[in-house]
Amino acid sequence: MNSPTSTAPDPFELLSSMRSPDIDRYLEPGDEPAADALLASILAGSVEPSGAGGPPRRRWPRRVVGGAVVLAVAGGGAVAASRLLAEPTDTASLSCYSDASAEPAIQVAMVIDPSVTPAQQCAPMWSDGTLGTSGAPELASCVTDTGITAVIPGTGDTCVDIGFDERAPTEPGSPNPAAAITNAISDTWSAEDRCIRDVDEAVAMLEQIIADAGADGWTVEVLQPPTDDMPCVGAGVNAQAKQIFTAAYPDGH
Amino acid sequence: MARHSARREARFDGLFRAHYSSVEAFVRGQFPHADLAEVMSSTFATAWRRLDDIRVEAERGWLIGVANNTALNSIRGRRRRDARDEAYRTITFRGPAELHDHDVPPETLEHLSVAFERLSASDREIIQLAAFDGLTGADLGAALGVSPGTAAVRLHRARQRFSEHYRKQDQP
Repeated sequence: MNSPTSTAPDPFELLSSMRSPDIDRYLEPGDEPAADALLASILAGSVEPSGAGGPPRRRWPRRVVGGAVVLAVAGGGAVAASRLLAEPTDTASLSCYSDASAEPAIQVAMVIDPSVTPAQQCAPMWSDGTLGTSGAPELASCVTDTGITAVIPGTGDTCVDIGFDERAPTEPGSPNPAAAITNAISDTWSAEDRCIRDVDEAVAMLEQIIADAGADGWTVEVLQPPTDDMPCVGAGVNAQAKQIFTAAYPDGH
Repeated sequence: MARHSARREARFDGLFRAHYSSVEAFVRGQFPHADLAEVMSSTFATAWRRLDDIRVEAERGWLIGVANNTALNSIRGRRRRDARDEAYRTITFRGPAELHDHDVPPETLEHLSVAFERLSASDREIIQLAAFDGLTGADLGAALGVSPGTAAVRLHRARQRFSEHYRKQDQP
C-alpha cells in the first residue's frame, strides 16, 4: 500500500477513510456554549447575514466550454417594441433570479432554451431547491441594463420597479441559432473534457457545429491564439456578428 | 401562525445542531485565515432567513455552499478565483489528521498529496467536499450550486483523474 500500484486502493476511498467522525457530531445543548449563544441570537433575530447570502451563485452561463465561459456577446440587437417592452441584446443568455431585485440573493445563469419561454425555463428551479422548493411564483421576464433576459418573481411592472425593462413576449420554438450553437459548443467541449490545445482542431470542431446547426452566414474567427500561460482553446459566440471566436484560457480552469 | 413559527424554529434548531460541527470543520479546514465566528454567524443567519428554501436532504450541502461563498467573499483584496484556488490548493483535513484513526502510511499520504495537487481547482474542490465533508448526491449538488446529477458526473470524472495521477507516480 506504500506505492500507488495498479492494485492499490482507490485514492478517493483512501482520502474518505481519513474523514473525521467529528463532522457528524450532533450538538447537544451545553456542548458548545458559543454555538448555543449563536443559535439563540439567530432565533431572537439579532444576527443578520453579512451579505454573501444564499447558496452558491452561479454567475456564469450553465453551459461552459472546457471551463471557459461561452461568451454570448451582443445578440439580436432588436429595438424595444415600446417604452417598456424590450428585446434582449444578448439572445443566448438567461438569468433566473431568486428575488425581485437587481441584486438577488441567488442568480442562476444559463443559455436560453428556445423551445420554452424564459419563465418556463426558470420555473423548475423553484421546485428543485435551486431557488425554492414550493413551486414557482408568478414570474416575469425582464431585460437587464446589460441586455440579458432575467426572470424574476413578479409581473412586468416589477421589472420596471427594479430598473429593468419588461421583455417583449416570446414564442416558444422560435429558432435561435446563437443558443443552438452555444449549446452545441458547450456540449462538444464538455464531452471532450480536456484542454484543447490545437487551434486547427478547435476550428474544425466549430465549423462542424455551424454545419450541423444549419446556421447560414456564421464564421469562425481565431481571436486569441493559445499561449504558454493560456494553452487551452475556448470558444465564444458573437450572435450579432454571427461569429464564433476562439479565446485562450489557462489549463485547469 | 404561532404553530408554523414553532415548527420553523424546531426545524432550524435541528438543522443547526446536526450540521454545526460539519460546517465549522469545513471552514476551519478550508479557510484557516477566515473569521470563523463571522462565517458561521452569517451562514446560519442566512439559513434561518431562507429556511423554507432549503431541501431537507441537502441541508449540509446548502450550508457548506453558503459558508464557502461567505468565506471566499471575506477574503478581501483578491480575486475570487484566486482565493478559491488558494483554498483548494492542497489536501486539507477536517481537524487534526492524527485523530482520524486511519492507518494510511506517510508515503501513501505523500502520493495522495502529489496526485491531488495535479488536479484542477474544480476537481480538488469536489474531491475535498466529497471525501472530507462527506457530501454526496443532493448535498454535493447544493454545495456546488449544480444539480445532483451534474455533481455526480463531475465527481466521477474528478475521481478518475485523481486515480490516474495517483497511479502514474508508480510508472517510470
